[in-house]
Formats: sequence, C-alpha cells, structure tokens
Amino acid sequence: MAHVFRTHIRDGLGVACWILFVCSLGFPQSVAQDNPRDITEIPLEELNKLEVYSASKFSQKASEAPASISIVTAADIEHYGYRTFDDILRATTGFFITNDRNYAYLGARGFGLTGDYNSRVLVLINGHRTNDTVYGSSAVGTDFPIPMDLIDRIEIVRGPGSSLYGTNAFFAVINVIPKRGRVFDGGYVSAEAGSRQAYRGTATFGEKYDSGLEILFSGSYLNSKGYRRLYFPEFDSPETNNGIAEDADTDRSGTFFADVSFRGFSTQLVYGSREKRFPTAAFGTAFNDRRTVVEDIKWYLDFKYERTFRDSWNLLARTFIDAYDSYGSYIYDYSTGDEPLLVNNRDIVHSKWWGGEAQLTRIIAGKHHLTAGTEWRYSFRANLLNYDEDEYFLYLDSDIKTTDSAVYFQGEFAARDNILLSAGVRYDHYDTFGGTTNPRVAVVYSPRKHTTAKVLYGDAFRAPNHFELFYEDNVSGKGNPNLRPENIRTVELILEHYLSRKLRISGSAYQYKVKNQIIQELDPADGLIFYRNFGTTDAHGAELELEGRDVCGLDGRLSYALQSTENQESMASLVNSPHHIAMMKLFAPWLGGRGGAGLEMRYVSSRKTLGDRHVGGFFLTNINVLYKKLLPGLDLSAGLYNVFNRKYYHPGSAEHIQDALQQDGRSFRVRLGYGFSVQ
Amino acid sequence: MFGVSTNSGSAIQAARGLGRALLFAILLAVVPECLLSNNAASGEPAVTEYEVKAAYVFNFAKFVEWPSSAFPAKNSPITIGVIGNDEFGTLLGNIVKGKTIQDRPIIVRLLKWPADLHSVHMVFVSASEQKLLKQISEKLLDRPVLTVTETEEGLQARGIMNLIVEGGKVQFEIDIASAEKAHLQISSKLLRLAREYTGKNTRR
Repeated sequence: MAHVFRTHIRDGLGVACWILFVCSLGFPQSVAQDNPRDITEIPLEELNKLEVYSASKFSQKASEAPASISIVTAADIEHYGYRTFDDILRATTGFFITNDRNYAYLGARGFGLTGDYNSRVLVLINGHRTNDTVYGSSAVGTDFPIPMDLIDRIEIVRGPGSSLYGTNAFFAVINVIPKRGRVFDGGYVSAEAGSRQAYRGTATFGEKYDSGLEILFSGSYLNSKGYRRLYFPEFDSPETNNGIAEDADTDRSGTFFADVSFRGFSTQLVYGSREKRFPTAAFGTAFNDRRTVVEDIKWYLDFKYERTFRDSWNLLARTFIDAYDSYGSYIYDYSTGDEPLLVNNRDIVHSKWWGGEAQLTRIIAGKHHLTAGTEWRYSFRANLLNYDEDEYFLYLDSDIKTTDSAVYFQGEFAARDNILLSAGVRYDHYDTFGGTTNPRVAVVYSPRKHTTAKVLYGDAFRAPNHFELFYEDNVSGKGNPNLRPENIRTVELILEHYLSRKLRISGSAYQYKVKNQIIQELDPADGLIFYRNFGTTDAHGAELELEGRDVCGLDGRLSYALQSTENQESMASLVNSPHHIAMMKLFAPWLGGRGGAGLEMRYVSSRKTLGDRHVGGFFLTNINVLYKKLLPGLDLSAGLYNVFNRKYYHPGSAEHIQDALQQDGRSFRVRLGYGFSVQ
Repeated sequence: MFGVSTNSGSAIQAARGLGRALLFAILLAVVPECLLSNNAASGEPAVTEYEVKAAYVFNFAKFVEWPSSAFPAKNSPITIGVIGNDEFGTLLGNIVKGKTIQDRPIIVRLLKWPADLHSVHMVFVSASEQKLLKQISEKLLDRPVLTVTETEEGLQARGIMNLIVEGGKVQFEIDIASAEKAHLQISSKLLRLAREYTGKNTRR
C-alpha cells in the first residue's frame, strides 16, 4: 500500500487532481441560502414546477426490504460521472466487472464465472426481463439499451430472486427504472466526448399533459474508435503483425426508448444495437483482422396495465414481445501450409419470444401483503445458424420452439410492529427439463428504532439456455438436451444501524452453495465440446458498509467485501474470484448542490486465471467535476477515470489464448447537457 | 503479477496529453469561477427541497378545511407538529412566523415520540421516522389530523398527504379515502394539482 501511495505522489497529474478535489471540499456549501424571499408567496401551481436542490437521503426502501439492496439514483450517476451501466455496477459493494473488449461481465460475491454472458444475474428494465432465451445473457456494457442520461434509479438486490422472478435471478436482480416524461417537461440533448475518440449524443423529449397522457422518446448513439493499436505478447511474431492489433477495438452502439402511458396503461419500446470489433482473436479467429465483428440487436415491446381498486387490491398485467439477434463474422485461417486461407465464418442468432404475466396483491389491514402471480413465455424462434461464407458450408441451422410458465405466491406479514415475516415460493415449468420449485423466507426485526436485523434464506435456479442445450455444429461442439437447471441455496444475515440521521452502518454475512453447475467440457470420444451438470461450489463472505449523507456537507460511502469461493471437486477457489473488494466514494457539493466533485477509489484483489496464474490486485481512482445550470439549462461535467493510469488486467476466458487481458489506462470524458422547454 | 508488457502507441500518448490539458482547463475555468461567484451563474436562486416542502405544508393548511370542532375558538391557532427532523421544524417555524390563515395564527411544534398528538391539526412525519406512521395513525384513529409524509414512491406507509421528489421537483399525492375518514375537506385546487395516487407496488 505504501508503495502505491508513493507512486501516486510522484504523479504530477495526481497531485493536481487532489488539489482540485481538496479545494472543492472547502467551498461554501449553499451560497444561495441568504436570498431572502417569502416562499409562501409562491402560488401552489408553481410549487410543483420549482426545481429544487435535494438534500440526499437514505433510501427507505433499502432498509425495509427483506434483502440486501443498493439503490443508485440519477444524482449518483451525475455526481460520479458514470458513462456506462458497468461503471455503475462496478462501484456497487461486492460487485466487480470483467471486460474482454468484446463484452462486459458482472461478477457478484466472488462469482465471476468466465464465459457466462451474465446469465446468472437478472437485469430488468421497469420490471421487464432483458435476459434473452438463447444465451440467457443480459447486457451490462455499452450494449445496455438505456443511456445513463435516462436512468432515474437502479435497484440492485443481492442474493437469489427466483422465488419471484424465476430463471437467471441467481446472484442478483437488478431493476433499472428509466425517467418519466414529466421529469423532462420538454427536450434534453447531451453530447459527450471521451478518450480514444469516443463520442456520444443523446436526444430526449418528454412531457406529461393535463389529460394524464405521458410520453417519453429518447435516442442515443455512441461511436468509439477504441485503442488504435493494442499489443498482445501472445501473438508477437512477424506473421501476426508483431502482436499489434490495429483499429480492432471499435464500438458503435445505438439505442431507442419510447414510453407512452395513460392512466394505468403503459407501453414501452426498447431497442439497442451494438457493433463491436474485438482485438483479442478470441474463439481462435485470425489475429489483427478487422473483419471479425459481432453485432447484437435486442428490442422489446411491452404493454402494462396497473390498477389499484377498492383501496387494498393491486393488479398488474403485462404482455410483451422480445427479440434478440446476433450477427457474428469470424475470420478464421483454415490453411495447413504457409499461405493463409482466410474464411469468413458467420455465426447468426435469430430469436423471438412473447409472453404475459399477471399479478394480484391484496393488502390486509394496511400492513400485511399477499401476492399471487403467474407468468408464461413462448419462445417461437431460436434459430442458431453457422456457416462459412466464401466457400459455402453449413455447420448448423437449428430452430427450436420452447415454452415455460410459472406460478408464484408471496406473503409479507407484520407479525408485530417491529417484526416482518416474508415468505415466497415459485414453481417454474420448462418443456425442456421439467419443473423446479424455489422458496425464499426472510425475517426483518427491528429491536430498536434505529437498528434492523434481517435473516434470509433462499433458493434460485438458472435454466439451461438454448445455446447449452442445442448448439450442435458437430465440428467444435454438440448439444446436450438432458441438461438440468443449476441451483443455488443461500443463507444471509444482515445488520443495519443508523448512528445518526446522517450516518448508516451495515454489515452482512452470507453462505452460498451452488449445485449442478453447468460447465463446458470436451468429450474425449469425439473431441466435441459440450455442456454438462457437474460440480458444487461453496462460497461465503461478508460485506461492511458505512454511508454518510450530508456529513460536514459531504456524501460518501466506504465499503469492504470479503469473499471466498471453493469448488468441491477441484478443492480450489474459482477463477476470477477476488478475495477483497474495497471502495470509497465521496461527493462534495458546491454552489448549494448545483455542482460538485465526486471521487471514487476502488481496490480489487488478485484473481486466479484459467491458466492457474494470477492477475494482480489493482487500485483505481476516478474523479468527476460537475456544474449544473452553468448557463440556463446547460449542464457541464468532466471526468477522469483511472486517474493514475494504473496498468491492470482481467482474467481471460476459455475463448482467449491470452490468460489475462490488459484494461483501459487513463481516460477522460466531457459531457454537455442542455434542457429546454418546447411550447 | 503478470509479466505482460504493453506498447501504448501514439494515440494513447495523444489521449494522455488531451486528458492533461482538459484537467488544467477545468482547474483554470471551473475553480476560480466557483471561488469568485457567490451565486448561481444564471441568476436563478437555488431553492432547497425542504423550503419547498415547508411551502407545501403552509399551502395544505390553507387549502384543507378542518371541522369547526377541531378548534376551540374562531381565532385559535393551527398547530403543526414535526416529528424526526428538527431542522425542518425550525425552518417551517421561521417561514410561517407572523402569518395567519383565516385569522388563525400558525404554530409549529417539534414533537418527540411518544408525543402528545392531541393538540395538533397537522403532523409532518419525516422520512427517518416513517416507521412510526402506523403507530401514529392508530393513535389518531379518525381524528381530524392531517398527516404529511415524505415517503418514496412504491412504499405503502404514507400519510394523507405525501411529498415526493421526482426529477428534482417536489410533487404531492393525496389519499382521499383517509382524508374523508379524518373528516378533512380538501379543496379542489389541491385535488387538481395532486399527482395520481397509485397503490402499493410490491414487485415492480
């Protein structure tokens, strides 16, 4: 640690940053306070249009919920200059991100299983499931279809959620809630420029009309050149450009979001597409060939109806259609001699599914809640296609239709004023493997006014996806239709205490057991890769968090996560599983909350790689400066990420020759936002 | 540690230079600006969330009608109790000082729980004390007391009036059924400006 600190001091830029930050701490906190005017003179009609600078508060939801929850708000996104969804998630206690320059992967509580395409975390947008049916994957990087500008808040619930949400709710459930039309009350445009020629623009229009109609339309586009030259020592030979991949890190993403709601009805359209080149020559593709590129497109249309009647009943019904398409071009060198024989292998996915759900909640005596619900989904297209383009050869063209459905019940009983009992169970039926039942029980007890203890027990599952079941090209891999779901059983204890109205401390300890893991294996009989259920992994850990709001004018959070995993078969810890993650966040507002500086520091300890080596631990610092209403309607922010330009690595996956992949050095981003009313 | 080395290339050098330039630009532009200006650049004064909430509380007193039995005399004061946020109580006290609503002066009391709720007409339960709301409601039964909360969206326990901060603006909701039970008349002006009241959203 001392060594790290010394290096920082040496860094002139680092010192400048510290000066900037420390200066910001000393600024007057609310300069506008001395403005004497009688607020009671403002007519009622104007009050709800007045923009206020909010004192930040603890989320009530988090302390009442029968789970360990983190809530990230639009203000946090502004304060710390989060550019992408994974920027937010990596700054959340107990989580970490792995990036292989193709996708970003979320790791939770010691599990960062390589190549799982985020299929063990459920990501929802306004309650709509975004994990697809082919890979079970959720997008957490630049492929996430909602731009950061548009997020109102994110609820991150750690632990199993299958008793309510079914598959993929294995390690966490993350619900992203976009802003609503009334928040914009007109138009908003933003422009960003960042390191490595990354440019992003967004345009949004939102309004709520007197008739009750509320609309929001938003589009965004990102074009990032990425690193123009990346060096990979594994490929350092004259035939492979001395290990330098040129212009192979580009990222082009577009999103569109529409939300139209009237009374209890709401319709949402979400669209996201991303085209990414990857410089790593993953999957055995030819090194330094720009034609290797993958385009992923996800969209959905969701109709929701929600209504409260007779004061104590709440009905929610929704129907939706989703699509996930992927167009991969992988350039392979098929030559056996000296002359290269480059062939474009296309790997294409076309998938669509639709379904519905209904949920009824009854509130009894204003405090007990009973919920019953059902969900149904029909995947009517899951076309997996693989062929060589130049000299046409078809390896795979399969299309399978599947159905799954579920029923669930949940009850919350306020046994006494300070004891809440919560229990839920869900039964899922898949026509591929049959049924699975997943319960969850929680007790929330407040022995004193400012202290809450929670005891949680829960099971969850992850259904085998289409890729694991049916991907059969008989050249590299074969399917296994007999796969069973993966299971997890968890116990967790949470303690939370408010030291004062402004200071909260919380701790949690948990134990996880993952069974029937779906792992990739090579069949020695035919040399084909297939998936099978094998293995059990135990994990346990503890998290500690200290959070302050408006303490000496500063907001901040200090957190530490200790986690440990052990696979029973190998008697060893998992790959990509850090033991320690520590974080510090600090935001110093100035000008009465109109601006401020955010500082973020994060430490992730060393992780084992697939090659049974280790990537070193790393310590990163980000800073962001924010100035709202610089001119009427104009917001400016500037961020510096990996301020001290630390060199650090993430473990590679099975598809990489590289055992470790170097991550981004120092980056910056400047953002301008402009809001205006349209009359 | 890994023995992997890197060849950053000129693009990164350029980016670094740009990063450095940017940082100094911020230092030069933003910092002196903040030190020198003592008010918002746009000239638009900043209002805090609690100032607006106090204004709302004042307006609720103005646009809600209590049954005449709630006051001993024609010019008896309207008493507002504040639980759990003394800073807000003090702010509210300063704001309503010397003001009258239909000849009634307004008194603000900082209540400590368990408090005497019998002599208040309105009680503001701050977010930190939200758990007490159930007990308060039970204690009040259907007496004409206007409960005001600042409960987040999606949570069940709310007062008759609930203040919400959304998109940087303070909005309010009315629970009409509870208002009727408490024999409080809410003016159509308030009803018109209130956000729709939606039921508890347990799941999403």
